[in-house]
This record gives sequence, C-alpha cells and structure tokens, in this order.
Amino acid sequence: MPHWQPHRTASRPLGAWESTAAHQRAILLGAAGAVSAVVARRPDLLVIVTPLVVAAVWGHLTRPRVEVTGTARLGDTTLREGSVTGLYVRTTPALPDLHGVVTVARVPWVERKPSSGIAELDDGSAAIGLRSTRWGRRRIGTVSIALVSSWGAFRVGPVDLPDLDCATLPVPASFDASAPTPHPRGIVGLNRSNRPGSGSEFNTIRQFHPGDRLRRIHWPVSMRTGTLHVTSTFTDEDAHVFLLVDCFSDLGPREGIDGRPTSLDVTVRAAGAISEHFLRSNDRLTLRTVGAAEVPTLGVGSGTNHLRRVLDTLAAIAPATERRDTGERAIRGVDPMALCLVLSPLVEPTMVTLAHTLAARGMTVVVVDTFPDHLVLDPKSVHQALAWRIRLLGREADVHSLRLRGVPVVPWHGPGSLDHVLRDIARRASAPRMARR
Amino acid sequence: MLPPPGESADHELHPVRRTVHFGAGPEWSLSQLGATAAAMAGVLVYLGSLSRAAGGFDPVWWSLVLLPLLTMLWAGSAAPLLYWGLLLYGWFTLTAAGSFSWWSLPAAAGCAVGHAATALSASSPPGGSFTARTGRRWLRHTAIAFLSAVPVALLAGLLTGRSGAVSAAAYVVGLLGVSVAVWLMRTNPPAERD
Repeated sequence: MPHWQPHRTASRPLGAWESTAAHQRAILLGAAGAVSAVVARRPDLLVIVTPLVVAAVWGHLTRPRVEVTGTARLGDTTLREGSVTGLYVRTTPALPDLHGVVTVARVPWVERKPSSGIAELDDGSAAIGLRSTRWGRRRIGTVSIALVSSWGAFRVGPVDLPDLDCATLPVPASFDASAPTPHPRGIVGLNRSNRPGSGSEFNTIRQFHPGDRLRRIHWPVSMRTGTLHVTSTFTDEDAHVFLLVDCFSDLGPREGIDGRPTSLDVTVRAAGAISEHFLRSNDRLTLRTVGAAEVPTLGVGSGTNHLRRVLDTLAAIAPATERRDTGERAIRGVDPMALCLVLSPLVEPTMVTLAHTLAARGMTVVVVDTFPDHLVLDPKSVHQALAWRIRLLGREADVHSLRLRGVPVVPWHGPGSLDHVLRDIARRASAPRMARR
Repeated sequence: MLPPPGESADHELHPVRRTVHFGAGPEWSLSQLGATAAAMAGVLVYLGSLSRAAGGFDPVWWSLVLLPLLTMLWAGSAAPLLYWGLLLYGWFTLTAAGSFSWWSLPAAAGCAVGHAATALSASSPPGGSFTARTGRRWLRHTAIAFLSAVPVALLAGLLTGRSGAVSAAAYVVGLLGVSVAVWLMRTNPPAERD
C-alpha cells in the first residue's frame, strides 16, 4: 500500500480579473444619467450621477493587471482529537486596496473558527482556526479565495484551492493496570518474571557468589552469620501484547470527541489507551485490524515511537471497508506467548470466531467488550428496541460461548478494566492447561 | 499551538462574529446587515431629496426604501441596477426640465452611499464580515466620490438661468461622459505599443 502523505500546502493562480455587476452598474447608470442630463437639460441629474461616473473611472483605473496566486498552508497535519490548528492563506503579490475573502467549506468533524468559515484577507493574508473533533484521516474543507479591487469593480474567484488533508490521532482513554502482564520473557521490561536475576522485585537472601554486586550485600544477615549474604531479585522482563481491533462495526451516531462515542470510537480510544500503557512499560506490542481496508501492517515494537506508529495506524482505520476479511491474515504469525487482547463490540461474528481460534491455539486471550451502553438505553422506536433486543440476545450467546471456552470478556471501563482478569491469568499461568496443537 | 514562523500571532485572535438567520436562509453577518442598512439609508436620502426637489410624491413610492433589503441576497446581480435605474428615472420624470435643485447634492450622496454599500455587500458571502480597516477605506472612497459632485453642483448652480451657457456646458460635460462610458465599456482593448 502506498504510504499516505498529508497535503500541507496548496497553491493555485486565481485567474483573470473580470468586471463585476457593481462596475457595470456604475458605468451604465453614469453614462445613461449623463446622456439624459444633456439631452433633457437636467443639470441636477448630472450632479446625482457624478459619483457613479467617478466610481466607474476610479475602478477602471485601479484595475489590477497582475495575476494573483493563492496559497493555503496548514499549521499542523497531525492533530489529536479536539486540538486546534491554523489554516494560513496568503495571496501573492499583495496588492493595495484589494478586498479579499477566504472561505473554508464545512466538512464533518472539522470545526471552523470563525464558525462561518469565512475570513477577510488583511494585507493579503488571513488565518482560520480548525478543530478536528474525531480521529481519522480526512480532508479539511475546500479553501476558496475571492478578491475584488477598489469599488468592487473587478473580481477574481472564488477559486477553489487543491484539497488539504490531515491525520487526527485518537485521544487515548485513560487506562492503567496494576496487574502484571502474563508470560514476560524479554529483557527490558518492567514485569516481574519467575527467573532470578537483576531486577527490583525481592526474591530471597542467599550467600554471596563471585559476580554479585557489592551494593546487594545484606549486612545485617552477613554480620549475624559471619559470611557474606546478598539480596537476590527476580529479573524484570517485557511481555508481548497483541491487540486485535474490530473495524467491522461503527455503531451509534458519530458525534466526535464532544459527543457520545460510537463503538469504533470506544474501540480505537481503548486500543490507544492500552497501547500507551503497555508501551510505556517497555512491553512489546503488535496491532492488527480486521475489517478495514488499506490499514498498514504494523510490526512488533516498543517505546514511544512505536506508540506514535500505533496511533497513526488507528487513525488510518476506515470502518467496514473490507467486509470479506476473515481475520486469518491478522492472526497469522502471532507470538504464542503473547497476551492477546481482542477489542470488539462483539456484534460481528467474525471477531467471536477469531477469539475462539486464538484461544484454541492455547494463547492467552482476553476480549475487551467495547459496546457503548448508550446505544440501547434510549431506542427511538419500538422496532429499534426490538431489533436491539434480538441482537443483544445473540451477543449474549456469543459472550457465553467465549466464557465457556475460558476466554474472559471484560467490558471497557477505562482504568483498572483489565486488572482483575490479568491477575487471574497470571495465577492461572502457573497451573497446567490443555491446548489443541 | 504556536503560529508558524513568519505568521503574526494576531492571526490566532478571531473576534467573535455574530450572525443572524432569517428562517431557513443563509446566516448573515452584522457587517452585511450594516451594508444593507447603509444601502437603504442611501435610498432613503435619495427619496427624501427627490421629495423636496419635486415638491412631494405619492407616499407609496417611499416603499422603494425596502428594495435593498429585499434584494440583499442578490447584491451582486443586476437587481441594484434596476432599482437605481428606477430611482433615477423618478428624478427624471418628477422634476422639471431645465431646472436645478440643490437637493440633487444630498441625492448624489445617497446614490454614492447606496452604490458603494451594495458593491461592498456583493464582495463577500452573506456570512462574511468586514474589518474596520475595510469599512474605513470604503467610507473614504465614497466620500471622495461624493465630493466630486460638489463642483459639478456648483457649476450647475452658477450656470442655471443662463440658457446658452448651460446648454454649452451641459453638452460638453455630457459628451465627456459618453466618451468615458464608451471607453470603459470596451471589452477587448487593443494591445499597447512597446
């Protein structure tokens, strides 16, 4: 897939100057008034039309004779939901006595400031504030420029500039987990492993061995026993987290950051929050999507740069653009020791099937239920209420089947959503289990 | 967010622009409504001057004051040309031939203000606003255009009653007006010599 590159700057010549209705009005009324005044001996009529004659001559003499180019530039092409950037418009050359207007068309999820999207050019430049209210990649509204000369006599435009676009990254919901991530096995993370080694979690006090650090010597025990003893620790390790995001469903009205979230809003913001949490703990993370076309494949990574890549990938999601996706490709080659988090509102059967498939491989799977409650709280009609009731019955059956397989299904509630289930998994990890290979 | 290098920080400051909706129509800025009010004031001054110069007319014609308001959505069309043509024709028919009234001077002011306000209104969408700087510039231009009518009025006032001189002066001025109009109306001027 070609790498998406936002268009930050757009420029276009505004074309030739053309006379306006105001100029033609001044010419016609001035000429007709002057002729009538002469023919019919009406000197007062001549007095009345004199300002119109002056306006016509003035407008014509100050007619701009150069081609003007309009340029629009976005202050920032990567935003967070709810953040504001500036759209800077400039016309060159900046001619004196020109009156210009810049218009930004209204598009969904982009708020304009001023709200009319219209700004007057001042000395050939203008600025309009833009606030993106929903994650995703999108074009901002078409920018149009129109200029008029003195007395509104000649005009260029309105001319539409080439489209500009920007990426809006989801604002991760607040999330924190105090429970350890299961199956740590790397070398750089913060999760306590079962192996003794260099770390921060206390293991035991043992006799000194060559190679032990002097600062680990436990002096009270050493003094009491007469031989050197050191404090040993468990090694800190990183874990691998695999996020599987359901892009099949985007249920609910799309109201942006200021309104109620859709199911995909909850899913994407939860994915961002979980990614932020685990990547800040130096864990490795993989993100895969199901049901969205043209989403770049993201490899395993860790750290804040990888978090930025994850958010970029989430912003690239277009819901339900690949409905034939079975998800087999998404779950291919997943680390068997990874913690699999499936984020889904559990409306699309494909996601339920994928969770079953991952669990059947013996992997640690947790389904994070991102179904927004407000969807069913206030149905607009009896038929809608009935439809939701039927759908929720099917959904309950899916959730029940997952739980029967041992896959926990936890509703997304932000901080602490996964604490309980991760502790259970860590406890369960030490127990024997059966898996189909 | 900081403005990019070279941009003024003042660009970030957008004063609150209030707009008005009339039913399901477009939103109108107060600047546009102000321009329309100025155009109405121009027509009102013109009609008042005409009433004084002609010694009164049927009160129903005062309703012409509403024309700029009724046609404000079409300020950039031929509608202002039509109603200003009608107003000038009214002066033509209601005043006596060969006479001169000093009331033509405020009528010229009304005409200049009405024309400028309509032209300014047509230069921006209904929701667009004008800065104070733009307003001052248009006001200055309108004042200069009106002041040009003063010497013409003085000349006309001086020459009124002297039939031969008036005719000659009027013919000269009228011919000049026609020449200027023909010059301005040409649509394809010949190329200038190098």
